[in-house]
Amino acid sequence: MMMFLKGEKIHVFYSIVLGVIGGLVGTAIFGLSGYMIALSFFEPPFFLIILIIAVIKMFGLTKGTTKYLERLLSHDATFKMIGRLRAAYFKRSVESNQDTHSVRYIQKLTTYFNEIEDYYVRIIYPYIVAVFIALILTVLSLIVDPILLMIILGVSFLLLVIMPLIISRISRVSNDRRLDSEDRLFSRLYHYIFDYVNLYTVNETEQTKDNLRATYKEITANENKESQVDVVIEVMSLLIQLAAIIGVILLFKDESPLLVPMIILVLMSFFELIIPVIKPASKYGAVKDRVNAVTTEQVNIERERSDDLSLSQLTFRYPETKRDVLKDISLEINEGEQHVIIGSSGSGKTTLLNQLIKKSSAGVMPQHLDFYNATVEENLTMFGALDKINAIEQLREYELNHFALNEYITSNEYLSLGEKKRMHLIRLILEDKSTWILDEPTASLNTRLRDKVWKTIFNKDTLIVATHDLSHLESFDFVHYLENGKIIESGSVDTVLSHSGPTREAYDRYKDSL
Amino acid sequence: MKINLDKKYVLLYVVIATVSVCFYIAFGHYLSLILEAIVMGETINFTQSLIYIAVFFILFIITDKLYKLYTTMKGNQRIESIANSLISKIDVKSRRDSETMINSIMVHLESYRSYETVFVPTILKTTVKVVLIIGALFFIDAYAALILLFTAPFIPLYYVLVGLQTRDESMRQATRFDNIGTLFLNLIRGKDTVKNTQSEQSVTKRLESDNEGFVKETMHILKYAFQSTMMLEFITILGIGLVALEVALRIIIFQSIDFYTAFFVLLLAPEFYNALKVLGTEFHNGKLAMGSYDRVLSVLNQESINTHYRQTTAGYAVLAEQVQLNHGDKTVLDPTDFAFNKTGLTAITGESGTGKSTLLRSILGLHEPSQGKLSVYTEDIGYVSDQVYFSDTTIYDYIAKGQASEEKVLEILEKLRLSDSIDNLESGIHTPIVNHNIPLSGGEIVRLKMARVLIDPPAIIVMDEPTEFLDATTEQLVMDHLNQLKKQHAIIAVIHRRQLLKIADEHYVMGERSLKRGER
Repeated sequence: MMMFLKGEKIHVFYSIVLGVIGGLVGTAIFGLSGYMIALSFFEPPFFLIILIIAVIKMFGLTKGTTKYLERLLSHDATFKMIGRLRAAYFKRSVESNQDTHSVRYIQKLTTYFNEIEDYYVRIIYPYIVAVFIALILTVLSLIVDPILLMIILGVSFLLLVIMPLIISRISRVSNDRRLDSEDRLFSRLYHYIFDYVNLYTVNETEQTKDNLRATYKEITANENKESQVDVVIEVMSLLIQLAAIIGVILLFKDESPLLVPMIILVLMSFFELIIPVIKPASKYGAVKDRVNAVTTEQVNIERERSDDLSLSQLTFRYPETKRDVLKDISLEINEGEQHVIIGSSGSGKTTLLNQLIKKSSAGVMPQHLDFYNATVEENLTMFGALDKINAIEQLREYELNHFALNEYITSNEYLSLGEKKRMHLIRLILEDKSTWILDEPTASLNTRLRDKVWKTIFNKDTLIVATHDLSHLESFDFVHYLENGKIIESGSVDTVLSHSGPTREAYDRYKDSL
Repeated sequence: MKINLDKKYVLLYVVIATVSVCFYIAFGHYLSLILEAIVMGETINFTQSLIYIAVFFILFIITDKLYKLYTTMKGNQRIESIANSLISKIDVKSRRDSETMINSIMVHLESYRSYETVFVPTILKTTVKVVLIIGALFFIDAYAALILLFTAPFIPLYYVLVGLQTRDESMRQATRFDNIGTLFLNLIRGKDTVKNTQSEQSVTKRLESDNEGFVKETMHILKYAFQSTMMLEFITILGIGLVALEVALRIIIFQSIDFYTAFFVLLLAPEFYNALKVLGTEFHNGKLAMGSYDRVLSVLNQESINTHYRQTTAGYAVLAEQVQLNHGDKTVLDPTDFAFNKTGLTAITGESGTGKSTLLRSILGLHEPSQGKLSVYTEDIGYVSDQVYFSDTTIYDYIAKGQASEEKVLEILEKLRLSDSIDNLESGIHTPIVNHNIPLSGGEIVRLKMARVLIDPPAIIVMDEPTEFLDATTEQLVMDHLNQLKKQHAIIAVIHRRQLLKIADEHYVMGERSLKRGER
């Protein structure tokens, strides 16, 4: 954590010092005013009262100023830290093999980063300040009476150590439960939305909605539980406060009556300072897990990229599943060859292509195309990594000239699938690699654009294309027919089409279509 | 700012808060009494006074926490009812912007939650507190109350002045922070493309410079915000100091008040100022939360689709009279009459994008014609889609729909020649089918979808490209099956293959906003 606060360590230090001063001064204001009124009744010199009031005001100014400086410093440190954390997370994420496309993954990451934003400003920092103030008050109380020392020490120990420890157990459990029900809600929502037409036609929408509502009830129950915990914390701390007040009255009423109002006001303002710290402090463990999750979790299992695209006896299954999606795949691909992979949906084409993409340094068009909340130009040039020469021409060529280069697009739902395909193709053209690996490059395009795109594609020396669109099958050199994760037919297009087999059959069926 | 709460509940909240604050004032009263006795050396019944202190403080705790618990639970209940309304909004269109729907329930509604559970209760409670304290002080020490009354308006006034100056700017910054956050998130999401295009460096540079610029500008604005807090602190101190001075002067010079009054005033005055400050900060939080609520509202206000537009007809499977279909602003079918028979296979062909799927959806009850009358023989229509998507389920549950027996399921699987491949699976028909991990080939999936409809075929069956992924053998099998089925049922199918036209009884071609009879 601290390594992400690099240059701000001194800021953190100052803000803690300022926080402690501010807190102490605030407490002193109350104590002094209590002392002042008690004193007033014993006919003190008038200037003494004026002096006390002047000191109170000065303290007030000090408190305001320290708080101002401290907030500036702590926020500055936090923002810079979040920036570094993000950059570091991004770097690691690029290196890892984690699939980051799910909406839920992104939602979780958002929550994590929001919580981390609080990590310093709301959790660690106020706690440290509270502990320091407690310690200083403990020492100061020795001036009054050792018994007062015991009271303050006891109260601080209860509120700052025991209670956070107990509550953190509870809050970790409820945090996990919360995440669980959110995961459940998410997958049910997702299924409901994507399977809606089927559910509607079999009259199951009401049932599914009821299930969703029941899942949301779990979230409400969790929220309610959370607020119950909050209330318990507050009741406990207020009862401790009451006990401390009564204790002080009983203990000091005879010995030093003049100090009682002061001690009580000091105690009350001390409580006001530390009670709000308890709940955040008890979240420390849970948030620490989040910090660890974003700073260390991903593992780098990235393979070396190479120009060799051949595969031999590749078998693949997704983690946590029981079935091989690819079985014993061998492919020989040499430079200058144009290969096409065909087969029905679900046969494993995309999985096979993704395996090739992972190990190659070619220009690639995966099934899932990524766009970013930025301008069209930034999206096309990947924020300046690719040369933007003739980007405008390319936009015109692929009938995308309704977009200006400086138009701001959002990643989601801004572009249609066909537009995404063409935008990404322009990226590939700007990138200008000699080998392309493409997944369904012509899907969602009309016949005219399809022919244009195929023409561009066949300009490349080396190609691996997975497609349903067999209109240009005969222009490829080699074809591989994938069925149920296996290559069941493979060879040069001419040979394979010259005898009956799955490819021949698929091609005939394609030509038969209306 | 508007408070989203029923008047009835506003009243209830105010009553509980009033009771609670009164208990606190009573606690202050007894605390001041007992301290007066201690400092001035008077004799009172200590035990009794201490019991009063304890009782009123405990009563205050109980009512205050009850208030908190009740208002939070009420707020959570409101949030749940909004979530339920959002869930009800999900329909056939949601798929197109699924993320907006999911985020409105899981992200924006969540950011709005604190408005209902914290903001509204706090605003009401604090207002009650301010009023009651000033009221009590008029009884205890009218001069002090006047000082509070005189200085108090400075706080909201200051908020208004500073607020006006920084509000727009800080809102813009908040949006910008969101945008940087969003760019970061969608860069993470799209990191594969970053990796594939080797643009990691330029992207990291962009992220870093974004953040630097943001920190610089934000700190500039925060400076104003924090300065305003500091000024408020000063105003508060000024007020409390004035009260203290007033109290001290009256004790020493005029000797017109007792210790009780002095202490009580000094106990309540800071509570008063704190309450005002809380109001100020909460207003800011409330504004931010309302931004999230607007995003929730925009989903809630989306037009719902009407699914109750179909009439019934006894004579045909589907009867359309002057039916016009629109897709957004685009008309895909001009007002047209057509009638599909109660038995036989009606084939619909046409180029992609001409609205064939829209026509099917209108028959299913999921796309209301923009004009004309659409009647169906029954609303119980089976549907075989062209999508390879499954909710998490098992093969048996998927086909049986909670009704059919295991034997019946096995029988239909046998008919569609699926038994062999399903027997090969680890748990047979009880094998889970989870989206993206379906242990079947494309052709098997299509037949599985058919099995679900064919196990108990309804009078009308609608199919979208039923033989898309089938090889010649299974295609023949499915065609034989459909040929049998159409004798007693209406099958309406969008097809792409000439082969299927052989068994069609009617053929329609969709295109250029029309539905015309095609070649047979």
